[in-house]
Amino acid sequence: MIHYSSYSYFNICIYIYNPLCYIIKNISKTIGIVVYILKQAANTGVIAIKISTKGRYGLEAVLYLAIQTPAGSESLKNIAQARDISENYLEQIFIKLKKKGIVESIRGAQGGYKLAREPKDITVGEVIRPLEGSLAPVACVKAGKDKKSCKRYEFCATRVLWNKLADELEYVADTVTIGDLAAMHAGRAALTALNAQAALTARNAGAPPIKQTDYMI
Amino acid sequence: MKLSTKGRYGLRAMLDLAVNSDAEHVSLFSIAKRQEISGKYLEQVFSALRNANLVKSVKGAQGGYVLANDPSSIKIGTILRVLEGNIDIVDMDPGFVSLAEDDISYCIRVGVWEKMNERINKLFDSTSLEDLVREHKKMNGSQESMYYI
Repeated sequence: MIHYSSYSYFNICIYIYNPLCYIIKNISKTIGIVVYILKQAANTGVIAIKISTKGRYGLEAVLYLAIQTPAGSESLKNIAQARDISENYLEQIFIKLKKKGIVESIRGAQGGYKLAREPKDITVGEVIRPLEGSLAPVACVKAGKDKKSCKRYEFCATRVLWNKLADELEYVADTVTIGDLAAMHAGRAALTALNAQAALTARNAGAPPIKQTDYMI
Repeated sequence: MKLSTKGRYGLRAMLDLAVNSDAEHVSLFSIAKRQEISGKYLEQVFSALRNANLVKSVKGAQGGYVLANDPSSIKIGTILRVLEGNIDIVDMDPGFVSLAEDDISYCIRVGVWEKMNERINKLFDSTSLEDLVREHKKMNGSQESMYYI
């Protein structure tokens, strides 16, 4: 998990870190080279921007709760079944989300999970970040103390681009809420119902069956 | 778009080429040295870039590469798509989308991932290699030959 430290901490790190680094670098140069080579070998694809299944399933589960159970709670088993996710995997996800106050658990026979806040008060980012670790595309992005994550940090122009990329991702993640997605879902469900009704009416009236794609957006 | 080393290193190499482009051509060896990237790896990367007409090769003992176009007309998006394929924040196989997608998956895909992809592509297609060169010069001073990107 990448922590965004404050500006003053970053300053302190420069003044202590750089001289220290120079000394250590000279002593352990050989070791450093070997480690660097190994790291490069291991680094292929490690820093990825792809959202994993953890983030995706987490979003699905939270959206599911927002739609199914405005008031009550839903058991882990039911949610897992409804979204075709393994119960174990889902449990790991919910433990993390519970820690962040996104969901809360209800004990007892009729227990399970429910949203801890209103859907409109939960952003997509608040769900994804605890599950993905961070939205940073590469380790050096928005780094304070993680400056050491890359020795090219000082001179690296592409870092500027990655920072902008992170800004774009964060913009979407921090402005879209579960409430927005739930509203979208309600609209979509209504459309599905309309389609079904239209198909039924047409069939009763003897018309040829309407293609599903005709009414769908 | 998995930001693997191919995309990141390829981009750095292209930037290196752009910055050092007052020379007639730039050898892969020199790029590899400055960027601390394996020469063999760079060969693969540049083979793809050449096939996509982003760079031109100059043959011979003193050979190397040049940009095929002005850096201001080479967009980052173009480079990354050549090296990484389609830019997509989730690993969604198109087949999977149409078969297993219900209303909840649909809303998340359209409401979140597609929004992100749109912005990512917009950023990458509105940033040119020239923009990065300018950024580099700001960080490194324009006289110095570029050792770090």
